Amino acid sequence: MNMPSEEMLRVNDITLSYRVGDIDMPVLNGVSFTVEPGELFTLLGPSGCGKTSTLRSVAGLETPTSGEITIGGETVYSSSRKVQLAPNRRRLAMVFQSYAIWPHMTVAENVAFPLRRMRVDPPDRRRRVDEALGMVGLAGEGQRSATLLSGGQQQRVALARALVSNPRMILLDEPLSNLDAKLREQMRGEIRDLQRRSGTTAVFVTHDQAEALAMSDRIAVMDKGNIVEMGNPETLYLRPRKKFTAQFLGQALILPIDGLEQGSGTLQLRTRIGVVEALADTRVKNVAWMAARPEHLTVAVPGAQIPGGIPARVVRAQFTGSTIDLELDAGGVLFAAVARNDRKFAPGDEVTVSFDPSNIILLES
Amino acid sequence: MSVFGAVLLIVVGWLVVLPLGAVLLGAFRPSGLLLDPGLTLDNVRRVYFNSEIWSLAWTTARFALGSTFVGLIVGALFAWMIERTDVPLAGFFRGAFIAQMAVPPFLLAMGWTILLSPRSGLLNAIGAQVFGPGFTPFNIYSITGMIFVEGIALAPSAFLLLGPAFRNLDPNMEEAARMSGAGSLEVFRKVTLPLLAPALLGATIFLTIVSFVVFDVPGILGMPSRIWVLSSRIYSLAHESPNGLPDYGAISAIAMMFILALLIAAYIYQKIIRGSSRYVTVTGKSFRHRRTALGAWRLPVALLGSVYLFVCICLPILMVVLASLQPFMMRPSAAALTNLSLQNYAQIFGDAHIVRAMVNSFVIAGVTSFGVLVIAFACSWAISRSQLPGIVRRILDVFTLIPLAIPGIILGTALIYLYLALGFLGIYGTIWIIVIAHTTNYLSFGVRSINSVLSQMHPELEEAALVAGSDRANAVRAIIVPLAAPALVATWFWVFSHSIRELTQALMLQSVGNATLTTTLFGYWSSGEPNKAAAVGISLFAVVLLAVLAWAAATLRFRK
Repeated sequence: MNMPSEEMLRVNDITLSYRVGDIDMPVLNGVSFTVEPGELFTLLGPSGCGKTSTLRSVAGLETPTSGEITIGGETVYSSSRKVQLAPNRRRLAMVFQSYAIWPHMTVAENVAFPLRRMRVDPPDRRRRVDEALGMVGLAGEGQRSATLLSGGQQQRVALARALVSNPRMILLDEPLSNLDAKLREQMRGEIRDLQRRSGTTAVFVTHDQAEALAMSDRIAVMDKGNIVEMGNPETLYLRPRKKFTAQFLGQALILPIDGLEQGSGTLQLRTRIGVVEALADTRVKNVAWMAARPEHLTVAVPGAQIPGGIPARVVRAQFTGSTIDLELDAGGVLFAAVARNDRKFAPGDEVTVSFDPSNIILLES
Repeated sequence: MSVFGAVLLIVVGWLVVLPLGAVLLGAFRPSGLLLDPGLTLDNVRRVYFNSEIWSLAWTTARFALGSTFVGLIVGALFAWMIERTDVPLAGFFRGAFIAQMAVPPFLLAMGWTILLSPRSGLLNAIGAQVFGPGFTPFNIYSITGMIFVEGIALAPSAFLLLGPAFRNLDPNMEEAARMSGAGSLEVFRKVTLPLLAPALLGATIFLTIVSFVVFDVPGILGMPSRIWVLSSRIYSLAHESPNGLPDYGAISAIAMMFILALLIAAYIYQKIIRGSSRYVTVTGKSFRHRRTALGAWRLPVALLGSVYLFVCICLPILMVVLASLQPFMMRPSAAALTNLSLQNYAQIFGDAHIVRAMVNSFVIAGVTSFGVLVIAFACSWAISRSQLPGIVRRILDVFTLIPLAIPGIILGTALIYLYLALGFLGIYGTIWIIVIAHTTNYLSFGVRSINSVLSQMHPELEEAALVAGSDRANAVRAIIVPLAAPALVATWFWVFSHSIRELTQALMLQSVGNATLTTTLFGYWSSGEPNKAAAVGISLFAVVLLAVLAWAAATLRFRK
């Protein structure tokens, strides 16, 4: 592979706005990130956060208002240097949300299309199409009409079509959102495996936090046209620094901090439901909020006491099999907790909840 | 802005804006001609400070609204019968109703004059025999007769516009109202009618626009008794003015008012069509059709439908066929039937002029349909898919809608001004001026129908080709064109069959060398040779019928 520069993709301060009537609607407000070769990088956020616009700007299907994008060291977009490389000259591949399988072609014709554009000669083309179909588990299905495929199969054809040309990078725009739950989980693993095996760099767009956590090397959490926070899945889930990240990734009890006392390596946080102890986190500057994941709370069975625990009342208890999901009320604050499945809880039970100081998340204002 | 956008703007501007400007400016020229010197308000004063214009407007409005009403009632009744009841032979009725589109309106008008002209009309003659002489209640050469025939001619369009709305009406909505305690009349008033309202309103405005500008029926039925509507009045100002010279100044001045009214109507129509998409009932969601059980009324309703089709469509055409086989007009009798021969056909096919006219008609329809297809596809793609600046796309969208609101007769006049002024192009008086007129005229239909296909096609299909290494042109060629092919073929047939039977503009632009089948027919008819006219008409009808059948086949294939 040809990689003159260290990073595969550099997106530098791109902005994008649409003109609706007389008003400029900002979509991207200066988005910057880099993606390393072989990495699976995810843009995660709620709908309308700008993640798809960012991906389409990288593909060249959308023209940003300003900024710069380089792929493998080659500038493909630059507002200052007036560069705007057409999508077909960026040597990328893309898997679309609707799969965009061309209904007037067979499976093999769909997959062969990028190779035809690259003027690969027929014997070589056939070999590579077969290879790609084999990779996605559709060996021997090449002559089928593309319209007769199921959703999952269309998804595989789209993947084969993307991988067949050995692109510099593969862009995936919510590729799993049209599949049913079971298939989605299966394809999650398959896409990740394919990407690892082929060593292709991938940029993935999704609004599904579980998908992002399970598949990504790194995640950029986006909101309202900005990247809120970037990092690997573990850090973003366990040690987010922004309230938006803590809220969007998984469940969390989030409380404003009313006062704070420094101890030796610990902090005493005064909150609406009582004083909570946390380990100091030097990365976080102005601590304004604390967050705790349901699975990090310890709930004592009714009657039992935990020293330093916070009293709460059970609002709802749901047996899910592997766990008991609890909804608790502490001084008017409702929050979720998870208890072991061999305990017994009923609505109205008075319980105590204790927090593990090492898992208390401190959030910046 | 790209070369592509610039070329499109120039082509569409040339076809649409230039003629429009020529007409509007012509109103302020003393001679009415675009490039002649001087500016004056005389034409405007002459036309508008004269009671004639207001009675002309009143007659036109009565004719347009009357025929819209008739067409809408007939179309809606058939739409209800075919789409919402368990009437027997629904498929046959649908096919028969759509096949009516092949009947040129002037053929229908000719048939009805044979049946209902005050002195020689067949039905009137029968009436006189039964009830005694002097009993001739039906006079087809009247505003009522014109409304009646135009209404019948509009009914298939009304059916096509209303059919989908009737078909897609979700019965759950009516059932929900029934479950909430509403009676059937109340359900119809409170649920069914409001749900159908956008389609009904859209169809009303569309039909009103069409009947406002139509020439065929008023030309054949109104002109003999000097009942003028806009289109026939302009024709007479161009061809029968007292001093022998066409009164272009007056034509332009009249045209101004009508163009303004029609542009407003077209604008409202566009708004309604857009707004109607808010009614979520017409989605792709599938539901089982619940049809009203007619019970004992099944056969009577089917019989009524058949009688309508026979009396209103087949009978007049039969009359024309009969006329085409006779040497002169005769009342049907045993003697008349023994006189039938193909002599008229032999004569017209042996006449070099008519063969020439036939070739002209085919060349005009062939070139027009391809021209419309190419320009409409380019515009449609530019409007819905390209990255041209928004303002360019909006301009294209509006410009391609305008021809819907320009009466053929006014467009014809406009092209006369334009290509007389641009005489060095050598287009005036040739078949190419008719090709230009038809291309402009059918551009609206072409763009709308291709738009509806492109809008159903996910943009990602094209984008996938771009990312896979295609440039724009290749992506359109390899993906969009093959996917849209059935619809493109259907559009081509529609334009071909309309262009080949078009009378109004061909007549306005008629000259020595560019006679068409329709102008030949009109010539025979107005010079008192109805039997030859009938033979030409039936030949034309056969060609159009073939094209419409092909169109229907292509449309059906596309639906699948």
